[in-house]
Amino acid sequence: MSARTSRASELDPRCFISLVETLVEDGRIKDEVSIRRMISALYFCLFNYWCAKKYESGIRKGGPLKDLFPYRDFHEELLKKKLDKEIVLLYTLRTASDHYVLNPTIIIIYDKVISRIIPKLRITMSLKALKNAISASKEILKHI
Amino acid sequence: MVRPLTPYSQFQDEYVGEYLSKGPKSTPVRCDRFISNEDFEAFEKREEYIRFFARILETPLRPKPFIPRLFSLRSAFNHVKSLTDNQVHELLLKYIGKDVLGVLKKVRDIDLRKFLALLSWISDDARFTIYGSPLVDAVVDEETNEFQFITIMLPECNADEWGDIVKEIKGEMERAGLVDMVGKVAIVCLQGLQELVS
Repeated sequence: MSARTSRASELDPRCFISLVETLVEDGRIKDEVSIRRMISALYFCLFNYWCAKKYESGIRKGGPLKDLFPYRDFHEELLKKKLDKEIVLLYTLRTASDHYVLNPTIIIIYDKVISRIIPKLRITMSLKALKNAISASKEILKHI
Repeated sequence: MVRPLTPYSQFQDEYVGEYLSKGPKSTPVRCDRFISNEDFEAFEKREEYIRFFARILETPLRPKPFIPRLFSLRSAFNHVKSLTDNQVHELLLKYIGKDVLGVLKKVRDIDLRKFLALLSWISDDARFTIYGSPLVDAVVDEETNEFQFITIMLPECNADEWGDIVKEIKGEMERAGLVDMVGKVAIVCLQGLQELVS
């Protein structure tokens, strides 16, 4: 990698997303570990790419080299672009993939609702979830 | 039989003030009487045409249902601006739990007045109330323990409706001067999210 190489072009996730899509279409992803790692990687390849674009545009954040960007800024920009469906889906799946062990697992959505049943989100790590994560990632990529 | 309708502007200030000072449950919703001025004019014009053609065809009148809009997001925000901090907090607790409010109060760039206006508007607009009472949550990252965004969840809308609802609500937020809140709030169709993750 030369010093003049663009960080954004080095971290462009197009090839990676395409690779994941091909693996799914070819039936090469069957086990839960692969599904979980792919979902997590989809989220982070977009996040890294977004950070690189911000860095190249002159924005500096934390860390010794000012290249440590918070998740919140990433989410905020996508929500401003009305990509609520895509980022909420990808972030929810990524959180479940990386932090929750059971499959399916349950996330309780808390609220002051007392008289009603507290809503629960039942998340299944499946190929269907991975395919939805790929679609969301492709849509997010168009707006980064 | 069409019920008598009243142009909304005659009652707007009185109704919005009453609604926001007493909360969503205390004021009887008189949806069948209040419509916007534009809708009222369109209604009169439409009724005139319907009656004209109905007389010709000698068919009974069958009025179509209206979707009333009790107040706009902008008028809700204008009213909230005049409330004290205590009033804002008390009203927010009618919509959200203490835990969520506690998280939001620690985030310095969340405008609670704008958030209250947004919640009261969504909770009362028939375009969104058909999806159930909104639920509110504050999303905090599992790793960093940092606040990420607020979610306003509509329980009964599906994945296909989700994108359009987001555009409608966020478009109105931009028009009403709540631009800085657009990136801090995620609109979630709970049924739709459940469809996509199971």
